Amino acid sequence: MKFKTEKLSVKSSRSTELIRITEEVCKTVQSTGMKNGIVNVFTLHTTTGITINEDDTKLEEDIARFMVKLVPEDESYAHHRYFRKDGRMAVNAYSHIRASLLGANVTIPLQDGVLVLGSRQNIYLVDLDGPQTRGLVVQVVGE
Amino acid sequence: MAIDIHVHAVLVKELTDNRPDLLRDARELFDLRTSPQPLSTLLGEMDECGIERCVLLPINCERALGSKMPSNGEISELVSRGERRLVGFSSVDPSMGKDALTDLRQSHDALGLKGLKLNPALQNFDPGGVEALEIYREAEKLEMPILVHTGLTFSNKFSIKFNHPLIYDDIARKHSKLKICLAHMGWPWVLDAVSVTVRNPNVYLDTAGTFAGTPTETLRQITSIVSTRVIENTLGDRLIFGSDYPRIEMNKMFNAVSSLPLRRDVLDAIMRDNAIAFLGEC
Repeated sequence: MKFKTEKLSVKSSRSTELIRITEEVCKTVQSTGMKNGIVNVFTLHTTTGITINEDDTKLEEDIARFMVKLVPEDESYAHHRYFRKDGRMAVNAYSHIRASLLGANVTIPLQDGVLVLGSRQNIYLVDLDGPQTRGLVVQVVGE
Repeated sequence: MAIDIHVHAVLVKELTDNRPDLLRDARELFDLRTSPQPLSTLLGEMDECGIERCVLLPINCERALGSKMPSNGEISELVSRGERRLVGFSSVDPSMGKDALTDLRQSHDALGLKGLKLNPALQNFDPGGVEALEIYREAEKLEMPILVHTGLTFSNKFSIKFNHPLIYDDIARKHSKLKICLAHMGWPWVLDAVSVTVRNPNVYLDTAGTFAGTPTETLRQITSIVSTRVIENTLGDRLIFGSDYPRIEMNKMFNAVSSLPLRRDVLDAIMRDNAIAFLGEC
């Protein structure tokens, strides 16, 4: 069994945004030369999530809007204080909580060099504290 | 559309990739430890909020701390990459005497920088001292507005007494054509900053900073000290939108300021018109 690990960079343009990354992940997996196994797509951030869902722009808007409604910004969060680790006030507890609800990775089967995804399934990076440039890891385990 | 007059150019990837010492200094000296982002992230934040221009600020701490964060030349370089949406300010160290005056003239004449950024408690100089007065005189002559840090600074390397907004009452009265912006509304000395602003028509305040929590929480606290009526009727032409990016994301500060319960014309002035009055032709 082999392990291949690659990094990807994705740029968001809104504060809450679902970004389709299926194509980039497929290209990255192909570049490893691996044919069969599993692919793990992992975000390197605590205010982003990774999810799989239907590639419909209106649904993307719905998910973004629901996350904002579910975890409101104007609450009394304990995280919101001077945060020495960053050298600034922490003001984004809601982004972290939204990210926790989505999770930091997805795993997809790889068969004969192709990601096994349903016809409606698309991989998304969900930026919950954008716009920013974000880093992802694509790790292929197999042969 | 809006203008953001308070953006720190310390964690811009195009600069830190070429200068690892800038990244180290931003973390160790400026106490800012978030990850560098490319210039396109800043422009993207501006797009998201409808911010047409922003002012890039350096801080020259070479004598006090051994660092320019960043240099005036680097600010000028970023401005040239900024699709005409970035306005560059200069920073000099008044304690350097004649060299500081030369730096200021050069940054204006050769680099095209439009204003001057000072942070006395980080640069460790007396803003009421003789050398600083020479700088104010030259800035007034060059028609370069000054944006000066007032109020709290998290770094405790030097005395915070140099950040008190009342210092600028004498300076504003002495240099009546010099435009001075008291950054962060002097927080927590907000009423002192307001009093200097009210009695001096050449003094402005900016909204930058999140010392009391989130942008919304901070503004809520400020408007509990300075009523919205006072802001509308007395400070409406002198309060300027500034974010303090990257200490806070521009969109978060933009959303908080533009949601203040103020008259539409006053909000428009805060978000844009007052910046134009402060900056002049930029």
